[in-house]
This record gives sequence, structure tokens and C-alpha cells, in this order.
Amino acid sequence: MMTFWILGAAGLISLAVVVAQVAQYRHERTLKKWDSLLSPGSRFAIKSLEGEVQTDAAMVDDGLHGAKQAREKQNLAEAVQLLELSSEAVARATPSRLRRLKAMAVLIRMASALAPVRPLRVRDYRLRELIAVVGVAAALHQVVISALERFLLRLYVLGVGFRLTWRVMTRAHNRIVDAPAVSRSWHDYERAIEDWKTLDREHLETFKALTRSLEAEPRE
Amino acid sequence: MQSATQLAVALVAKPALLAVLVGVVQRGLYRRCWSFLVYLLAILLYTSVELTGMLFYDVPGLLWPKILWSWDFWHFQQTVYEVLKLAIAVELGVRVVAAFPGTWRLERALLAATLVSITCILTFGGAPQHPLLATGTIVLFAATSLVILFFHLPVHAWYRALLVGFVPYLFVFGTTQSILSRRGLEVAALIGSIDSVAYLALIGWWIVAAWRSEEEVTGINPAVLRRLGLARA
Repeated sequence: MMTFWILGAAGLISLAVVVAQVAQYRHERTLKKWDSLLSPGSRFAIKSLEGEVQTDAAMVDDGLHGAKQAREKQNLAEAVQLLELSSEAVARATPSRLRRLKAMAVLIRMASALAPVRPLRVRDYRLRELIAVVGVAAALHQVVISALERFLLRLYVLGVGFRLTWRVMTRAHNRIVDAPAVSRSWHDYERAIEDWKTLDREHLETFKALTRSLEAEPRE
Repeated sequence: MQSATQLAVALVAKPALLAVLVGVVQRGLYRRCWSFLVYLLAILLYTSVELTGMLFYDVPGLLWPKILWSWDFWHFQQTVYEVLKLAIAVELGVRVVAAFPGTWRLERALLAATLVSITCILTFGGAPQHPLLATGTIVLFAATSLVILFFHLPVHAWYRALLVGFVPYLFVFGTTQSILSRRGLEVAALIGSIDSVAYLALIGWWIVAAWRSEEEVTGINPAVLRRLGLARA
């Protein structure tokens, strides 16, 4: 009799899974999503993304550079204003990076052969929190077996990295606004900006690896 | 001894199954799931043999109708159907993820785990065969649904029709009915009595699915559709 109850439970759970899948499935929406991910316009957008990464980095740097100069001249009000420019550039760019990472995690399922990716390097980062995350990920990179898992791990770490740097940056920014003369907050902000730019370059490299993987035609 | 209802259902089911078969062949849907074509042919063949047994059952002096309209033949026939339904579930699982190599590992693991479990329970667990195979088929379909849900995969209308048709039917008339009848509940007999009608409804669903025009989604790159395995057959 026990076997029957197990069968019943397995059947009921399976029925629930199928009903859930059918209920939430929207063919047109799903197709359009995959179309937007796979259409040549977005697949071969490396050039445009490279431009975006460089522009954002320049905006962030210019704002920070100007703010530091103003601070050196003891013009703290102007320093805070210029810092806002740098902070706004990161605030505008971060959501699009996170969306792209999420899209890449879906799109990589289409690749028949994956271009290998290296783990993020601990020495490239300056924030303690990020160094810890990247270190753990580098160890995990050696443990996970498939190229797909390594790719997904890289995407995950980049996502966590962007969120971490954004949090540190926001905290440092708020402290600077409250007390622009305190050097430590400026250092924290600068370190977060440097890490954010490194993550951004790594995200570009990941995008290139994805594009190379997708260019390999699927096996028939 | 057959009832009038059984005879009527058996007679109605044949042209209905033929309509599904013609639709599947004419629309090229058999290329999307070969096992379903084999399943349809098996049903047509066995039910025709069974119907012949029914019609000649009362003719004096004839022994073979009693063999064709017997529990032994029924068990054999059901086993063939159940194995073919398992094959449909496996083929559907493989085909749905065919364009997505990144999902193969998970799908294979789920399918293999289910098939190994079914084999082990059947061999060592002493579970009754028919409800076990019906439940196993549902679990295989669910495994595919899980992968579709998890990775947001696009699915061809024919595969969705097979999932929607098979799973509720097998759950109610395969698994649930067996449990209830084992417990001696009267509702099991009621479910059993409407099984034939429900099966006709399922065939009706297949006719609709096989004959309806393909869903048009405008603005999708044809190369993307081909790559996703959703271009017209």
C-alpha cells in the first residue's frame, strides 16, 4: 500500500509541475526573448559594448579625478558635486551590466561548444569583500568540472562583484557627502571604482567568450 | 463480455484515431515525435484486433475471439502502450532541449534517474506494473517541464499538446484510479467507467492539436526559429 501512496505523491507533484509550466508559459514572449538574445544585431555587438565600457569608465574616472582635484584645492562642495557625476555614471551602468549577465546565463544554454574562461584573479581587486568572493570562486573554478559550470560561476561572481562594489561605493559616497574632508571614505570610494572598472572589463571578456561560443554552429 | 458502451467507444475511437494519424502525417508532426506515430499505429492495430474479438465473441465454435477479448491480451496491450508512452516522454524530453546543449546534462540526469527508479521499483519493489509505468511516464514529462521552466525554453505547440494531453489523463486514469481501486473505494469504479469517454476526449484533443494551424509569431528572425528547432516542419 505504501508503494501506491508514493506513486500517488510522485504523480501529484509531477502533475503540479506540468500545470505550473503550462500555466506560466507564454510562447510569443519566450520566443521574442530568445530572438532578442540570438539575433545577429545583439550577438555581434562587441564593438558597441566595448565603446560603452570605455565611455562609462571615462565618465567615472573624469568625475572622480575632478572631485579629487577640487578636494585638494579645499573646494569640498565642488568635490562632492563632481563625485555625484562619477557615482551617477556607475548607477546608470550597473543595472545594464546585471541584466546582461542574466541574459548571458540564459543564452549560454544555446552554445554547442564553450570557449573556455579563466577565473577572475584575486590580484586584480582591492576591496576585501571582493577579494574573498573572487578567491572562493577561483578555488571553485578548479572544483567544477564542465565548461558550462565554470562560465556560469564566472557570471555569478561578476554579478555578486557588481553588487558588492556598488554597495561599498554607495556607503563611501554617503560618508563623503556627510564629511567630505575624511580621507578614508575617499579611499574606499576609489578602491570600489577601480574594482568596478575591472569587473566591467571582465564582463566584456565574458561577453566576447559567449559570442565566440555561440558562433559555433550546433551539432545536427 | 463486452458492454454496448465499450463497443460504441471502440467503434468511435477508430475514425478519431485515424483523423489524428492523418493529421500527424500530413502536417509532418511525426518528425517531431516518432514515438507518438508508433504509439498511434499500435493503438489502431491492437484496438482493431480487440474489436474483432469483441464482435465475434459470441459466435459459437470460435476460440480466437475469446483470446483477443481477454484479460491476458488486455495486459499485453496495456504494457505495449505504457512502454510506448514512456518512449514518447523520453523522446519529448530529448527533443525539447535539443537546441540547448547547456541543458542536456540536467535533462539526461533527470530522465536517467526516473528510468532507473522505475526499473528498480519494477524489479525489486514488487509494485504493480500498470500504475507504476503510468506514474513513471508522468514523472518523465514533469522532468521535461521542470527543465522548460528552469531555463525558460521555447516549446513547439505539438510538444505542449502532448504534455497537456497525457499528464492529466495518466494521473487520473492511471495512477489515481489504481490507488483508489486498491483501497476498495467505489469512486474507482466511477472513474473506470468514464475512462473510455475521457480517452475519446484525449483523442479529440490530439485531433485539434494535429489539425490546427501553426501559431504565428511575427517579427522573429527565421534563422533564430531554425536554430531553436521551431521552424515549420
